[in-house]
Amino acid sequence: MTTGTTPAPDLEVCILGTFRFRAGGSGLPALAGGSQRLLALLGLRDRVLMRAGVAGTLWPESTEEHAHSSLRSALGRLSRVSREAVVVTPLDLCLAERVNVDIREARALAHRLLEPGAAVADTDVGAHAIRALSVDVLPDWYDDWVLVEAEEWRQLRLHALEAAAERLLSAGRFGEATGAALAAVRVEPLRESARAAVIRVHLAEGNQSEALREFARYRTLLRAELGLEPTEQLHRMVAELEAR
Amino acid sequence: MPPPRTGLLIIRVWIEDGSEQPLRAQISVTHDVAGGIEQTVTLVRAAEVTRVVDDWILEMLGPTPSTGPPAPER
Repeated sequence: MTTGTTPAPDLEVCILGTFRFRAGGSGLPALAGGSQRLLALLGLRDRVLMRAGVAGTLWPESTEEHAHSSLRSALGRLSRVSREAVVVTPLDLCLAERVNVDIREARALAHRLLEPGAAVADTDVGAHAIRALSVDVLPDWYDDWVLVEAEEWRQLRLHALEAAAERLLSAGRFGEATGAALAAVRVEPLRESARAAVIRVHLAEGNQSEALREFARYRTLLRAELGLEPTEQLHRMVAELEAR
Repeated sequence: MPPPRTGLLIIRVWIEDGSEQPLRAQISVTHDVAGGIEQTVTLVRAAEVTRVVDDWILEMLGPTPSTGPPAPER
C-alpha cells in the first residue's frame, strides 16, 4: 500500500571533473555561477562553514559588506531543488544530510586503500573505483580555494591508485592491476613509483617484453623531458631481462 | 585601458630518491586564467625554477602576454 507521498529524490553535488548538481540521478538546469561555486565549496569542505568564511572565500577581493551581499544573492538565486540541498542559518551554512558528494565517497575510498593491512571490498578496487580515482577536482576552476583542495586530492588519488595496483597485484588480478597502475601514470607520467608499479605487474604476470617496453617508454620520456636516466632501483628491476 | 587579468603559476614539487637530480618541479603557468593553463613544464634544477618564476612575473608586468616558460636547460 502506498501512502500517496513521493520520497524526495536523492540530491548529488559532483565536483570530480565538471561541476554537476543532480536530483534522483538526473541532471538539472545549470545553476548560476555564484550558486555553483557555493555548492562546490560546501561539498569540498564537507562541514558546517561560517557565513563570513564562505563569503570571504568565494569573494576574496570584495569588501566584507559586498562579499556578504554576493553570498545572499547566490543563496537567493538557488533554484527550488538546489535550495533543499543547503541548510542555511543566520550564522552558518552546510549541505543537507541527504546530499551526496562524489568527492566525499572518493576520499573515503582512497583512505581505505591507503590504510596498511586494511581489508578492502572488491568494489574498492573495481573499475568504478579506479574511474573515481582518475578524475581531478574541477580542473578548469582557478579559484584559490579550489586549487588547494584539487592539489590535495591529486596527491591522495595518485597514492591510492598505486596502492590499488599493489592490492590487485597481490590478489593476482593482473589486468585490473595494470589498469590501476596506468591510471597513476596518467596522473603524473614522470613519477617513477607509478612506472615501477606498471613494470612490477608485468613482471609478476610473466610478461617480460611488456615490462621492458614500459621501462623503455619511461626512459625515453625522462631523457627527452629532463635529460635524466631512471634510477638504479628501476634499472635493477629489468636488468636481468635487458641482459638476455 | 586593457581589461584586468589574473595570472597563475603552480609549482608541484616532488623528490625522486635515487635519481642523479632528485628534484622534480612541475610548473604550470598562465598569464590569464580566463584562457586556462598555457603551458606545463617539469624542471630538475632549482635555479631553472626561480628563473621561470622571475620571467613569469616580468611578463605579467609587461604589456604583452607571453606564451609561457622557456624550455628547460639540458
